[in-house]
Amino acid sequence: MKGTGVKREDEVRDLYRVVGNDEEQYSIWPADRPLPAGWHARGTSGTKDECLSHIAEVWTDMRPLSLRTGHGQ
Amino acid sequence: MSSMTAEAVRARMTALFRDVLDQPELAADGDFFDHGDSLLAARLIMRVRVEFGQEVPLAWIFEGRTAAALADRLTGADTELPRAAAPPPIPRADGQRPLRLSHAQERLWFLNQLDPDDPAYNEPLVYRVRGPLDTAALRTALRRVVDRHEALRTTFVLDGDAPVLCVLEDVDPGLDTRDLREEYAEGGDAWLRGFLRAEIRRPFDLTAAPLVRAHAFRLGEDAWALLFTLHHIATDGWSNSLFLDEISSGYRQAAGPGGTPLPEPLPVRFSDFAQWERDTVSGNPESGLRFWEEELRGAPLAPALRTDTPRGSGTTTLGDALLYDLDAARAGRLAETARRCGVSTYSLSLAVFTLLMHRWTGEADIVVGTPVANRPHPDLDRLIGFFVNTLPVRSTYEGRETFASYAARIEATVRRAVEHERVPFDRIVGRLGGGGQSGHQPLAQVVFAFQNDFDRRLALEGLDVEFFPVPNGSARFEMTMFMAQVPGGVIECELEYNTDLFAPETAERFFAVYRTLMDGVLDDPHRALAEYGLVSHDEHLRLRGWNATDRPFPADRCLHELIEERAASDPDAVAVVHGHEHLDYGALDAWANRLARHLRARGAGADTVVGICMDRSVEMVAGLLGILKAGAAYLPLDPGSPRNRLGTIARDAGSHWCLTLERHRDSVPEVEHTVFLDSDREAIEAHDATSPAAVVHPDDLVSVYYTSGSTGRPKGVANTHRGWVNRMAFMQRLHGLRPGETVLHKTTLSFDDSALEIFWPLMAGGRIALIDPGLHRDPGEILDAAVRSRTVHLQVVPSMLAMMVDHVDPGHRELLSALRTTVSSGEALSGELVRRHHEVLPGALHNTWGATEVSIDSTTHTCTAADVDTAGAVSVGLPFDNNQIHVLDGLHREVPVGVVGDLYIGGTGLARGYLGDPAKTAAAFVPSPYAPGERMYRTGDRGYRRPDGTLMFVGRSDHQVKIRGMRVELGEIDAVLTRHPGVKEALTVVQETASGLKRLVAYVVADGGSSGPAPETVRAHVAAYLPDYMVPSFVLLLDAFPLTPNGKVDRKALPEPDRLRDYSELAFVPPEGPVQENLAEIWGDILGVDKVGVLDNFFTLGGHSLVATRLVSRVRRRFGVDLRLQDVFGMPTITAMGDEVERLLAERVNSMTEDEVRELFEQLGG
Repeated sequence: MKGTGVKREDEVRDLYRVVGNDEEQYSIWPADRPLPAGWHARGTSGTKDECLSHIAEVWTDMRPLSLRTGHGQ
Repeated sequence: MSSMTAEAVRARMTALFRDVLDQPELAADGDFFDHGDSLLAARLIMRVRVEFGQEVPLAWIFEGRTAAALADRLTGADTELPRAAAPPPIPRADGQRPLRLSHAQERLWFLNQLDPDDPAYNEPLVYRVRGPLDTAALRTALRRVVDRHEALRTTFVLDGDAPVLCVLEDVDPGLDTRDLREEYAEGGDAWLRGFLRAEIRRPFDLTAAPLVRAHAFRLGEDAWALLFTLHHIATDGWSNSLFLDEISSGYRQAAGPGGTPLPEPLPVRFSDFAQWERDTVSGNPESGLRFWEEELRGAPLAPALRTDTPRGSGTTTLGDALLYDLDAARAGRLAETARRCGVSTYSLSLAVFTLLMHRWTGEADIVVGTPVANRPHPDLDRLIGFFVNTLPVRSTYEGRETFASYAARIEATVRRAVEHERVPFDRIVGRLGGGGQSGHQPLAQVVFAFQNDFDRRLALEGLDVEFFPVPNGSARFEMTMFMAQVPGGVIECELEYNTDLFAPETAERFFAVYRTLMDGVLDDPHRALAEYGLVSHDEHLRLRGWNATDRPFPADRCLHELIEERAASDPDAVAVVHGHEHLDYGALDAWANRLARHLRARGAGADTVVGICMDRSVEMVAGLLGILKAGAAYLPLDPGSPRNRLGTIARDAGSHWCLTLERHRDSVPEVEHTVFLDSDREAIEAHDATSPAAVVHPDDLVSVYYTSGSTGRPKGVANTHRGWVNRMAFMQRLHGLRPGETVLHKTTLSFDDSALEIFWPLMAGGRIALIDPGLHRDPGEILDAAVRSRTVHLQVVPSMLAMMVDHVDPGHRELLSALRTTVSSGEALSGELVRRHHEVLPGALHNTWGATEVSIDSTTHTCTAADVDTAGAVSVGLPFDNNQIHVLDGLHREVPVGVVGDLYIGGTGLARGYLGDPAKTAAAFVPSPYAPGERMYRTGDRGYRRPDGTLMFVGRSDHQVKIRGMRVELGEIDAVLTRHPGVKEALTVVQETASGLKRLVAYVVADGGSSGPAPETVRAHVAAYLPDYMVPSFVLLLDAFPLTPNGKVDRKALPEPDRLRDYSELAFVPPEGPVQENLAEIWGDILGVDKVGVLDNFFTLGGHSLVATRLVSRVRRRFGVDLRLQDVFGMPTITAMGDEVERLLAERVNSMTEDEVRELFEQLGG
């Protein structure tokens, strides 16, 4: 790799949204990009760090929902 | 001019516009740039200056764009403008002195000397003619052109050691007339093109005039092909149009009734220009060069395009061209879009091209060349000769800038360039210092040229003449995009590419992406640069096809359940072999059941993590299975790692249990329940031997592997049974292990590849053969163990594979007859290593790629002979069962084949995340736009797809590196370094020595003005927290970090480690005697260290097992004795090693004749 790379868009992008899927797994997504199918905004947005801090607080059980509720058994 | 009315000025200006643009109908408010480019703009301004006698800046034409606007500005600004003195005439060159070449001619002459047969600079003009051609008239016309233009009858001869122009008088170019009617009737146009191409490619002799060849080939009763081939040293695009004009008028005069007047005599000759150029440009080169120096400061000198075939030592010019027409509708939209953006059609097309270069290469700073007319004096207007100059256009990329703003920036850059067009390209290259690099053209390897159709239009009175494109099979640059406006509003695009460097498919894709980008810009030029998509609809479908990997696997089973099935069906089969120990499936299963019950009695169960701190042993295998049967996930803890680190990891994982052995008592971290599989055997065996039947779900955790973390804290990858079962099921599908067959287990447990060596054989009813602890870094031991165990499979990192193939002797190949497959993983595999593997080892070689975060690996590639020639890393293949790979840009959009992007992995193998770290998990496992509701893992690797979909790895997007196959986040080392009380700041980098040795170098700034800690104490500090492969070989104290202008650490300016200064606290004891001196020399050589003292430690100087093997073979060659690899680990100083070598030498000398002894000592210089 060479030193001068095209500046990475997601590193200079300012705003993210906290998103989640039906398994209640959390992630982040650039606020100005359309959400991929199957993902929903969780109401929080901000810088990358703000969103990740929020996730660190609310995502206390990282097991997928189907495993937690035993549906997958 | 003051006497002229504004109306008159407008009228004359409009006439000038019409003339220069060759658009007789152009209105006064017609946009110049709908028809012309910057080259023509320069030409127009020159004419304006002459016509109106005023100094008119070139910028005005870009700002005003129409004849009316320019005229009004001229009349309004009349009083403010300096009156342009009529330019002083170009003086006649002194015929008494040798006539020097122009700068550009000198460059071409030089290229011709390098390869006189290279036809790249033969310029063909080819026409199909219908009607009664008068060949005699054509001959006369030609003769007249050659008489009139000195450049066409000039030869290049040596005067001493410098070339000079030798102008000949009375040169008859002749007209070669041939009847090809029969051949053409048979072969048609295809034959004709081939025939013409061969004729075009015939080399010119620059010492013989004329430098134009003319042919009239008869194809039918009234059908001809006309070919004029000129050498570029005598012409350029502008000159070609003059040549064609004069052929037209000459033919009309010679063929017709007469009456067409002879053209006015030329005011200057080409040799006058060459002399004048030297006197004016070379006489005062500084101001122009200073501009270019400023313009290109810091610009990349290395080529931006990745080639399909490596660039060789010389520049080649074999080429081909692709053609594509922008239809009139699109060309119209192009002109309209350019107008709306306030730039010329040329600038807009160039901006799309430079944007393509940025997006295609991933480089934020690029340079492309663009030709300019360079006719800086009105008297040169009508002169044939080689004037054209190539100017570098530099472009920088910022993804959020809108295209319209970017195009305006490009136009401003071009404008500045054209104002300094007289500085010869070679002088710019010379000033920037990029001329010395071989293997590619200096500075600009890629060129964009906007041409005008009338440059190649030929009219012959009474005949129907049509341009007939025949590429000459050459490419002067790596890629050149030509665009030309032709009658009917169409824009012809031609991509010329070097066929020695690029496959036709690559050029086609490059061309296709240009069109896709162009369409995006025409749709909306106001989007951010990063927003323009590169992938067409068809390509999306193709990308999707390569990810269609769905395949059934035991999705409802857990790893240990599949092993239990094997144990139940054949309990007497051997499962594990270690030396003389054998354990059958039944016994293994019973042992693991008891252990599982023991653990469950102590609270372990589903979703808990149990540490296992053991080196390779039968107990370790039983321990792993026992942990899974208890329903827990296992956490590998390498007993060789610092206890501090193991403690941190065990705490982070919340592990209250740890399995170990008595011999690891000092390594094992403190946890609530430590279970010793040897000394607690009695207590374990007290449990029932039947399965505890713990309820385990495929989504429960199977393992937690800790990898280096960039913020200084390692992170635990929490993998599930489902992902691992899928991985193992594919392993079995691909490699088909049969019951009873053996797989060698040699990989350290803390490297996830070891799971393949353990669980896969057990799921397939095979047996695992264990190599002794510590021997996994010795290639000889691995090969011996592979022979002894009759292993059918070997799992290796490339650095180990390299050592093994060096170590194989011819006997091994036969003894390794059972070996079917070797799988390389963890690091980039080179073509050279594939070649050596195929030469010396039996069986197939597979290359895999993936991440611990997605169940070990996700792609595979079976190496073939074709991989041997790969430059860099060989392909990592295609995604396998239930894995998807996406190559994405910064906005998570797929990039086309051939374009480097970020590699993401999706599918069944995805880990649950990082244990107990939702934030890191959410950052690395992101929503997938390609599978609803699912996640994909961002690997941090960069790569691209080849046309067959296979993936190529090119590097990292961050500071993660691989040392001996292990992931290392340099930031984690930095964090440990800064925890040392004497260290304020730290930066660790990977240094690669000339011999290919990778080692870590840490730069530290001392805290609070102290003199700083001794480097050795800093290293000891790191070694207390991190595994050995993460401990820097060198620690350098700096007063401060060197910074770049924007305040970041300037990595390039960091000093090279210097042995004496960095180890000053360790007494330097010079070697004594021939043995020590020879050893010190060998060490210095392979470690890339200047001065080696006899107390220095081989491994702290950057040595590792790969280098140790090299050392052993060098010692063998130098002394003729066999040092064992273990000796290097056991006695890693010159003192100790020297003693051993002397002992071995003594043994050897005892069995030598006197002559042999003398010879040996001479060889050692003693």
